[in-house]
Amino acid sequence: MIFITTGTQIPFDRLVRAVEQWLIINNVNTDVIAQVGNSDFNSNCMKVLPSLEPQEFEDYINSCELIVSHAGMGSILTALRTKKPLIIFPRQAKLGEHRNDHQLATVNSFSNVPGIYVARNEDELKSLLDKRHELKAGNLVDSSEYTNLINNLKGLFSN
Amino acid sequence: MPNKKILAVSSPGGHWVQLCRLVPSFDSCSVVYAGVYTRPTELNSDAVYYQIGDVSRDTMLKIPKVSSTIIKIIRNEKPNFIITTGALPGLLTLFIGKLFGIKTIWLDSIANSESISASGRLASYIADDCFTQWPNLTTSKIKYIGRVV
Repeated sequence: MIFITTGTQIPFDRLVRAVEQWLIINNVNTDVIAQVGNSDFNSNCMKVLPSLEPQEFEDYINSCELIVSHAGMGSILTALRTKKPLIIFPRQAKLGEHRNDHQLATVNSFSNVPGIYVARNEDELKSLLDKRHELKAGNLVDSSEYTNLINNLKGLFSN
Repeated sequence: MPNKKILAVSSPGGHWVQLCRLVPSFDSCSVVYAGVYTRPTELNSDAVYYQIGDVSRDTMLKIPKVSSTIIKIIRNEKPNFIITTGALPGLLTLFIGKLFGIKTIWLDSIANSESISASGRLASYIADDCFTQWPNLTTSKIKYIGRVV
């Protein structure tokens, strides 16, 4: 099962439409669950849900083989934590998909992270979906920067 | 001496996921959580969780109601520290916490890699400590002490 998630704020129909097109053109027979937010989007080839309770979200994450999402940090950290391959597709401010272009910055920051696959446009998204069985999961490692953060905060809380 | 208490607050999604990454730093304190909507699944069943309601730039009219909830939580729990990873509800909690003389900490989301968020810039004037997760974004008020990944 492929799980598409667009986060908790503004809808992101461009992402779900691109996946839908890919499903139709290639006649792909895979279960797809799409969390689309407050959107009118509907589709015959996927299960469309506006929003999910935290437990439902966790259940879909755990049972999917691949996550496709906007380039949100929640999706990235969740995919690394649950060891699922993730395709991120950034929202663009000029298309009214977010307040600013921080998701373009996020894809630049995470383009070299194992398990995170960046699709900068619809074509890149479709070619990543074509080779979905080759995509590998990443892992949430406790980097030295993370250890520093925790130790520094511990220091603050001991004062 | 009793443990010090932390109020950890954040919006859902990426903000909350990043807040959860900070939990190991809360070891020496007791901690209560506050979020915007229903109780997140990451929390243990014995964790104390408050729902404060959402407020964003588009729903500023909700500020008084959300504020009164935050004030009740602070009066009830009397935390020594407030820490947030954003967004606006977290900033509001820091602001109110400051009025109560509580030590406040802002950690800007790792998503903000090219500029500090608008809330983070405001937080740098309010919070006792304001942190970015990108070393290139530090200023005299905003420090870098590590990151969640």
